Amino acid sequence: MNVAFSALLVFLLLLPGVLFRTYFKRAEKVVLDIKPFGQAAIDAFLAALVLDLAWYWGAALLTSYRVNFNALLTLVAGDKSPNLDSAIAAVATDPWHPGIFFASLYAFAILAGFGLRYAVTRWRLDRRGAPLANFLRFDTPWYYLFTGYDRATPPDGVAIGAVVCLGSTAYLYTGVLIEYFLDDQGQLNRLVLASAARRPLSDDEASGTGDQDRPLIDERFYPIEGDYFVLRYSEILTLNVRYLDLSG
Amino acid sequence: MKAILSPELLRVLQDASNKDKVRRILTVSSGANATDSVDITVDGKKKRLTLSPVALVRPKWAAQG
Repeated sequence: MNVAFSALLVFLLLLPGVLFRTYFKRAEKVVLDIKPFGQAAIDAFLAALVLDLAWYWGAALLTSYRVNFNALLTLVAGDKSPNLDSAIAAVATDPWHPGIFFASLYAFAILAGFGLRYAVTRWRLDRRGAPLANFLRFDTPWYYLFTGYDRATPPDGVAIGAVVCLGSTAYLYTGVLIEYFLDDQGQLNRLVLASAARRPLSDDEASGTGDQDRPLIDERFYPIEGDYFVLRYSEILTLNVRYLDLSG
Repeated sequence: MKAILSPELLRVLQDASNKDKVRRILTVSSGANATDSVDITVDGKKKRLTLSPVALVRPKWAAQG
């Protein structure tokens, strides 16, 4: 028995956890997994442990077939011994039962990942303040922010205010967020706005804040012609987010 | 992926008669906890578009920072 077979067997045992984690994880606009490899491996290992045991108990309850742990551990260990020969002979004689066990386990892992993610999203179990939120919350902070996920009711839209420096002048841009994109590091890359307008920030110095000043405040902005306006996040100094709600 | 805009608000943005009103609510500066709103028309029905108070939308990492 060479080391490669033992590694393959361990991989087969851990694969359900990897599949579960892959299909449970919610990605933002691009597929991201910025978790350190060690953390991802621990997550996958724990998930594999639960899924392997669940499938073992399920098979024991529903069928007369039993997992032969003695043969399994012998194959994983891979040391030359009569036990190893008999374990290999047992698998060679009946490859279907282990094959069906693993194939159905992988299918179950994928379905469990999809199903749990659907349940988490459907009942908003990852919403801040929910009992299991710390455990179930995805690593997608921009998604939670831009969808207003943690609010009691989802907003109808998101208004963005951003300060951008052009030359020596700071401009305040505003608009309705249509879409956002992330780079391969998980950082915000660009925002797509509709109904965009801008004004120099220095205009603030000459204005008041009372209601009587509102027409003046409106006039300080000038609309940006076009259906969509793209803001690069790397050029944004500060970002303000407000939610839009339709009622009545 | 959940949409950022509701279909209803998308219709508002596509309606030329509402565009100036939406732009106005976006460009009106308000106090930290003030709420701004404007009446608009969606599919012939009058609705009110409201901006949430700023204090509600601070992201977690900004609050911790």
